Amino acid sequence: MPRRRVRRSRAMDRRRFVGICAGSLALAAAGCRRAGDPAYARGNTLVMTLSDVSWMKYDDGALQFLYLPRLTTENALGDLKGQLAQSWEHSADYLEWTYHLRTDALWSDGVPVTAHDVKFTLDLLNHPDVRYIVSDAVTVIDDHTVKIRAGGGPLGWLHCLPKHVLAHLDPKKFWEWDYWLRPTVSGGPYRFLRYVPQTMMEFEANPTYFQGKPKIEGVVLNFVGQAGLNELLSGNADVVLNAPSAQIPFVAKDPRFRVYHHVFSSGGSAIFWKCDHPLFRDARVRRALTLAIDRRALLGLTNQPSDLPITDGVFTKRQFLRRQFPEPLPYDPVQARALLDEAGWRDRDGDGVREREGRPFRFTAIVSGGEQGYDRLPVYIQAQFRELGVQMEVQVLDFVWDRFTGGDFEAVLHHHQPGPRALRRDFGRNSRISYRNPEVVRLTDQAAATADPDELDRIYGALTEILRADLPMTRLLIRAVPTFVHRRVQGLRTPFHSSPDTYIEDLRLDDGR
Amino acid sequence: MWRYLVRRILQAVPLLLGIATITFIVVHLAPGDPMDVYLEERYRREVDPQVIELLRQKYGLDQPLHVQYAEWIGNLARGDLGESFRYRRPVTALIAERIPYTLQLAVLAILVDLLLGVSLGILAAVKQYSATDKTLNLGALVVHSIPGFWLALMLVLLFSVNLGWLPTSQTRSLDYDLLGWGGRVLDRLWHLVLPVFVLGVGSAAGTARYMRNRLLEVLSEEYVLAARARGLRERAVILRHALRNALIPIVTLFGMGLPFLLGGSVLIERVFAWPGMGSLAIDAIDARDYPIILATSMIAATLVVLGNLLADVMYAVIDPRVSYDGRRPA
Repeated sequence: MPRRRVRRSRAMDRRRFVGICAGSLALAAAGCRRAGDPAYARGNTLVMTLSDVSWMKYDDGALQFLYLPRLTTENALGDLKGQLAQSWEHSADYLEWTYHLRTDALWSDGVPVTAHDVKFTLDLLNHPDVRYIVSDAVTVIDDHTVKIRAGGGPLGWLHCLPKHVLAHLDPKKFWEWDYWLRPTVSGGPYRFLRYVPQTMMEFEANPTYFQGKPKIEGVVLNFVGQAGLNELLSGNADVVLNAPSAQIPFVAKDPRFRVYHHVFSSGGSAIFWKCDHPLFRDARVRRALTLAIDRRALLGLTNQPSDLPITDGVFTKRQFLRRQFPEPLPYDPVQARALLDEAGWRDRDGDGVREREGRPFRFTAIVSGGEQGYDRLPVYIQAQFRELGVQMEVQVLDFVWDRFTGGDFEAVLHHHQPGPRALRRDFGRNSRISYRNPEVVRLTDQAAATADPDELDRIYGALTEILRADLPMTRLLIRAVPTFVHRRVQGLRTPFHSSPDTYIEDLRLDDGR
Repeated sequence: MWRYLVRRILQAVPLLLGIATITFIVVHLAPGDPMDVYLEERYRREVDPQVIELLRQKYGLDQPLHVQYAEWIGNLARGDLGESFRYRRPVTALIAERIPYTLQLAVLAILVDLLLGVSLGILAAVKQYSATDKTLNLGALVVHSIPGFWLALMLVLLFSVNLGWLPTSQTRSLDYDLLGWGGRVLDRLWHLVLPVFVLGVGSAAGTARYMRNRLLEVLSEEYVLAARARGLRERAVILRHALRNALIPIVTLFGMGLPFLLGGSVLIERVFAWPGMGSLAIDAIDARDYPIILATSMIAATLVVLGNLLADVMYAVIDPRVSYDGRRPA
């Protein structure tokens, strides 16, 4: 009997020992963090995460700027700034542009970048099997002068392709060309080093780049799907592009990182009212609903910086960059109530919902459910409307576009796009929100027909005056895209100089000393 | 057996055709137009409506639904899965790139599931009602109940973000192509540890519980009693007599579980940025990329059909009492 007790006690000790060891190990593992910051060990190489390799094909928002020369870019005021094109002139209608190219620009294999490369690129993008743009006429005047007739004005976004490398390839296979993954000949600030399938692309600073060798020696594009934040936190990345705004609070509290917000366009989220709906026919009602939303509070709710502008109306990107936009209508629930009273909407039965002629002020707003971080927006607005005596139901849809375009809605929370074509679609002759204003129709038609930036600014200014009074759309927030950046990356500012991909030539890396 | 196999395969053809038709209709009835998504994704630059119209023509989206269906089913019969709207590349090429990654994950996860699940199940059954049995049962229940994606995120947080022992995502390191042959193999295995563990252990928990119960049933059979009465050692009784019979439903379970393991990898691929079929399918759904959605759905449906067929065949191979030849088994 005593012998048995001893054995059990030993077994207990062993079990306890194993338990204590396992527990300590788990606690140590959970609590400890790697010593040092591995980001600094990468030296003068920047690692950016991207969702997938498809970003490297020739497309919008893609990263060809790294290795392809760009015709022009924009300065901080939205004016054209020379890149490959040193100077330019345009016709009176701004549709025909003549670009004078630099004579010192070279591809990485030593071949000069010429007007023939520009023509080759535009012809290729216009090819029936590529269909990236339509009907831009290009004429080569001489090796360094090219004339382009473009419906949309200056082609600032154009990245030139090397004709001598790609001319023999089949345009039918344009989107499959190996060149997008292995651009062995480059003419941008960086030149290609290597590609690891589905994993990464590496570039090194181009010493022969016509704007001078960039300060950052190497750039690695790491294709990590949705795991950008994990890569950043584990020290494997310096930059997470297009990060979800829901992750901002998590990153912002970590001193190793900074969050920048980049504004790509003057568009943003807005509520579009169905203007022929009995509830929203009256402009006083639309104004009251706009006044009832505390739009500055929405910034905090969506983790946006508090100094991001709030505004009403429509404006071009140039106007936005120059801050030529009006102050927003204030948050004024008292005036909102008065306007609704004036329009005949009163809570007569005391149930908290206003009525007029027996009809309660109740409607459904359709909302796109896909965008992380913006899901609290409609709930907050719903609460503010409730205080006003207006009942807004929120219907979250996977895809809003169909119903929006088909006019099948009462109100829709969606992105407002500021381009002339989008303005026509929203407020023009066949307005999808059933807004009818002959002057707005005339102005949107004019905006779609001109490429003169000054004329566009004037038209947008006139439109803003009308839309600010009529409020067929209540602007909520400017579209700002967050980027998570390790603090060693220097040279970024919110909101106009905050995209590391666009401004990579201005960046430098701190060595941590 | 061969006649049975041929008959089953022929039966599968109308079944797959039916699935193809229903999938096509459901996918096209779902709200969202691929070209609208194309426009949404290109918010930085206003796209010329002419481009959209030409793309619509190119992909046949301007045709009535029945015309689109006839064309798609005709192409499918010829093995042409169409061209992705998003990637603008043939779907077969995209799938050929992605499927090896999914198979790597699935095959290794099945191995982990099999080895871990069966051995722990045996251990629990042999030590019935002991502390080991109770711990294993509880552990299996807990692991089985934890959602795979949550477990994946927690493991990434612990082993990758905090400790830095394992990679957070992807299939290989940034310096992969600078490594030697051995280094490359180790690097690939290093990247497989977490996703395979999450996928395999989640399934192994279920397998272990199933295996334990099945083995306990078998151990109470008379032939096991007879084996013991013959004086055989307990190890021989379990491994040679009981285990073979207990494994029969487990092996067939794997046949049927194959498509579910592939399905389960969808979320795991997402968490670990694993460039497999699952992430391709999810991205395609977001982009309303019909050709990819339809192709991945058809592959999943084919796997279900094949998995069931495999299970039935395995059953006949393992269990001599089962025969599909119409002959009475010996």
